[in-house]
Amino acid sequence: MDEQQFQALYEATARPIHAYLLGVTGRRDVADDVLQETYFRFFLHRPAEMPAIETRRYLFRIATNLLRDRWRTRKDEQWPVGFDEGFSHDVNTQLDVRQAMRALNPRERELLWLAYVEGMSHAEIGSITGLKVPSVRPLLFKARKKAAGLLRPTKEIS
Amino acid sequence: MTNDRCERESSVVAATRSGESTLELDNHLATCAACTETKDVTRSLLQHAAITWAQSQPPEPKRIWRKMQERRRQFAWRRAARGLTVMWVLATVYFVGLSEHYLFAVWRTQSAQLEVAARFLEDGMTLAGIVIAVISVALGSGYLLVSGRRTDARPL
Repeated sequence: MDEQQFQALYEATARPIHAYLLGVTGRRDVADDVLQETYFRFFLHRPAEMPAIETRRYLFRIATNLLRDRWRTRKDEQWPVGFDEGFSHDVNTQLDVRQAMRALNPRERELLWLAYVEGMSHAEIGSITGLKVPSVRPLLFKARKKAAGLLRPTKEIS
Repeated sequence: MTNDRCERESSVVAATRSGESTLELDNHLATCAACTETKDVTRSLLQHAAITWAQSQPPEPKRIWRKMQERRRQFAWRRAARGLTVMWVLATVYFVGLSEHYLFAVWRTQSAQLEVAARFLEDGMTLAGIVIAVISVALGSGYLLVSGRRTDARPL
């Protein structure tokens, strides 16, 4: 793969992965680092032939594994307290998503993002997170319940 | 009214993401607490994601490419150095073995037997040394060759 091919692939895939990393960690520096490492790992280990949709999923998988490695060492596990960039505080619904994200654990943030923002199926989430497909459903359900519980009080006040 | 899980959650997520719902799905939402909850959470996350997406500025591809090239070179160096390390270990083992045999021979033989020991070293140990050296060179070169091919096959 030459520089032009890389650039084409990067432009097609980097934005959603970067947004995912930023959305799940809440930290731009971590998102930048992990994104860079993701592409490096991809080129080291990628299979010769891979369809575009599979490539995207594969990149998400690498990024998720890298995040998992960081969290395993208790690095960046906590949502940053002072981060207020890129997170909505909707005036109509008063849903402070940032506060909800802070209260969720890393795996819950991952699952919610992949399922509801990326719209991935349970099978796709399973292949990205390394979870067995039957485990995705209850874990996602639990995460959704928790998120709803965190978002609901402010909604009811409004 | 369901309050737990619903089979139609994925349809609700898809409809919320696309903004296109059907009357039938809207009617279902009115009676299904699980799907309503899914819709609310999805909507909140999508709002959050829209702003995150707008403010997400991935590093420039040129910058990433440059760094990757740099890391690829470092990686290739480390890979090549592994072969040299193997050769270095084999050489050390040979040196230690040779020293031990030589010292052992000196210790065991009297001055009159030194000639015999020297002949033994010349015959047995020299041959063994040559064999080990050839094996080391063959292994090291082979490793470097394979490692080089592997690096060329995956250009970044």
